[in-house]
Amino acid sequence: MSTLRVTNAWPISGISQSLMRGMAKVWNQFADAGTVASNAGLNMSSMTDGGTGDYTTTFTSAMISNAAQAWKHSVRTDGGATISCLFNQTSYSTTTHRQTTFNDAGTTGNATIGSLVVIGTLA
Amino acid sequence: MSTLKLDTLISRAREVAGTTPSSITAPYLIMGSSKIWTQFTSITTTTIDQSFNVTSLTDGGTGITTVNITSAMSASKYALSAMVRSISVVSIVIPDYNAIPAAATTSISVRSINQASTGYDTDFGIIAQGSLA
Repeated sequence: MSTLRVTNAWPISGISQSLMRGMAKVWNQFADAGTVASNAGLNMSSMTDGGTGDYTTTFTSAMISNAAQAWKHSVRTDGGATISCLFNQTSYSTTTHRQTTFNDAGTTGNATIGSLVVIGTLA
Repeated sequence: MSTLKLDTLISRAREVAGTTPSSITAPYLIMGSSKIWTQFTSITTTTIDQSFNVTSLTDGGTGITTVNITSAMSASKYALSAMVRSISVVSIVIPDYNAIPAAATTSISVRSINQASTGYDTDFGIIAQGSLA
């Protein structure tokens, strides 16, 4: 096993870069065509379908705290005369992230395709 | 060109200070780092402001842009994050995957739409997490 101890990481040209905290610690691309399934991901063990547009991603390795996390969601919106799907972060913990898709009337709807990215610090 | 092979990266400053966690393992470095990012505008002419691993943009019509990737992704299934700017005070604007699949190994098709699901040219930022080919 090889281990590298660094104070700064420098490219050949330019300035040093913050590596550890800037890395995504969890990401998940998933689809819901009636049954939710993860297509690919990092540091996630499973997905739970909580009902229409209700998705929970469970992490393999936990985040260090609830506060030390930032999230990004993306979603495919399909059809309709209104915005059909927006993601809302419903709840989160050090080991799970729950997100919900809904339209501008506040009604939940399935995400044809969606993404979750969590950036922060692992426990 | 130098190549570094490692299993774990440790922050020396955090280790010396006794602050935990102080390390990160290789999978997070490889799969957790952004492989593509770009900030661009499609308001007048579709133009890259800043980017990483992006060759060019293709204007696909109002609100629709294809981001052409320099070094290909290993598969079409990777995570996207996006942000758009709502320029008009009367319009909610959201970023959106433009097609299924929108994310291919060498390009990403995105769109920005308003509350009427109509294409909307604006300033756009995207980030992709996944594995390179």
